[in-house]
Amino acid sequence: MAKTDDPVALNDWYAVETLTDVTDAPRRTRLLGQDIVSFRDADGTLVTHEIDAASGALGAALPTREKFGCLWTTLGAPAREIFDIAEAAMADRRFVICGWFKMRTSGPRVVENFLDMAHFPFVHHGILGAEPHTDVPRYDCEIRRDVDEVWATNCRFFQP
Amino acid sequence: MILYDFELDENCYKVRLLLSALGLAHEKITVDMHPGGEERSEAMLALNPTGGLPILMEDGVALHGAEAILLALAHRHDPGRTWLPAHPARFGEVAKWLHFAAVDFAPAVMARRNALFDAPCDIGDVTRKAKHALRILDDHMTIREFDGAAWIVGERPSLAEFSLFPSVALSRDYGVEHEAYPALRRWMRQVRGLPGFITMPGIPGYH
Amino acid sequence: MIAGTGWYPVALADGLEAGTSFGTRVHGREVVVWRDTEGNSHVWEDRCPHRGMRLSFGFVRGGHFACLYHGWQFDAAGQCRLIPAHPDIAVPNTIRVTRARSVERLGIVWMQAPGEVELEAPAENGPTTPVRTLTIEASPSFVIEHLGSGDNAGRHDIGRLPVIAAPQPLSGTETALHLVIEGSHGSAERKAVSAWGVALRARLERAA
Repeated sequence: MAKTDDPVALNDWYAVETLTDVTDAPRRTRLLGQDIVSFRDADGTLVTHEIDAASGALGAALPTREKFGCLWTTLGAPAREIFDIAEAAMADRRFVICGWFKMRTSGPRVVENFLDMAHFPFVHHGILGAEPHTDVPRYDCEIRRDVDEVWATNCRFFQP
Repeated sequence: MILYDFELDENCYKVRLLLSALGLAHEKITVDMHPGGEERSEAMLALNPTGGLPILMEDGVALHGAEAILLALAHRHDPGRTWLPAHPARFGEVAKWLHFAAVDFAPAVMARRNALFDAPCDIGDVTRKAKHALRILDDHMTIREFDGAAWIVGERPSLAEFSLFPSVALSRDYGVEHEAYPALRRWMRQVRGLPGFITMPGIPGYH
Repeated sequence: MIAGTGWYPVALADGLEAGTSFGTRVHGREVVVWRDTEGNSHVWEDRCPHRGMRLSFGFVRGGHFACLYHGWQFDAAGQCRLIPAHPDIAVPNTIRVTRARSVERLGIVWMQAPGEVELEAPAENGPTTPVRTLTIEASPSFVIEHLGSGDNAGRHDIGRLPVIAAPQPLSGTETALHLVIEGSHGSAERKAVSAWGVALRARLERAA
């Protein structure tokens, strides 16, 4: 498996580990086709490196960030820091790590799926949606130039 | 009655299937199997020293082993012997398939845990063994269809249905499609039609 | 009816119940085989034109086949007729699934791979007794070579029973073999041919 050469994909931040899982024992995973390894060194500093899948030889050191209970890294040079979620900074709130699981699909497919409501009555029937309430009411879409993000707002859907 | 349960675990699903078929009221306690590994906590090991799920607590007795729980539930709560035949030969066959589900589908459980949660195993080896068990079951149901039978044992559905269905239906989680198991495809459809049938993530509601 | 005619067996007709579907492959290309509530079988490319979801996960709804992902419904001609997210819009007639030509002959559903020059559908027909479809972990050429072509119509004499063994090339390394017996037979004969098929499967997989 080879590291992707897609610059848009490379130059972004990705959550790769749950922080509480990262100790002095190296943890290996893969990001965009590149094997990477993460651990805390003797000072407790987070370290992430590319690693050669076949030989186990350590490659380039990668930038790391701790945010939202996760270890984030990048294979490229992101133009911005990791986005903020206003609620995560509020003192009277907490976030709960629910873990991770693997699925045999591509990243863009997962993003598409998270943005989509029309599948609720069929894939998540009885929970997130139900026939005959399959109509997706018009919602608002905008590009927020200041943060260079696409936002969908005023999204509504019938949920049983 | 308390069921210690994890939504994504296929062995827990076997018990959930029977509890629903029997319409049995129960309390369900979710155990953080992943990522927490809570089934191996001190409190849970006190209930099940083998460190697994499901666990069923009834009248102060903790049972573990999905197939054992199915038998216990049927024995106590199904006096009409709807799901566990009284006929000696049929009973023996149901017991045989419960054993098969526990032992011969164990590699399938491991393959799925590896595919979903990176649980370590020799994925090639367990996948091969899982496919072997699926083939044995498909061969069985193919012969059963020649005799005009729709169920694993006898003329009615039994505990064997609930014990075997999860590992068959969820094989796609580790990349084994149902293409090679046409008799099991038809059998799964039969199981889905049973009153009280419930799905779980990985098993679509529509079919 | 045998390899090389451009028509591929994809299912035993009897094993495809009305209102159901399943996925299979021909030379690695995924197809969905389904039967509508009127009893007609269809073979389509296993890919919804919307987001590429496998149609074989879908469900039959009246005379339509619906994709599981967003419930888009397609009629028997493969035309999309309903988009549940926007139930009132007129669906453009450009939204359609790619269909394969298919026929049922000798108790088997046959498809012609889409894009190939149209060939005459197999003419032979007649009553048969379905046995089973075996999946063999061996290449189609190996299976066909070992099976032999039987007589001109692909029939093999198995214990004096006229068996048709129709190979389906799933991929370079896997082959499905559809077994039917010509004429009307009972469960004893079906079991005998099934046992022959299982033994063949074991021999081929050991030798492959």
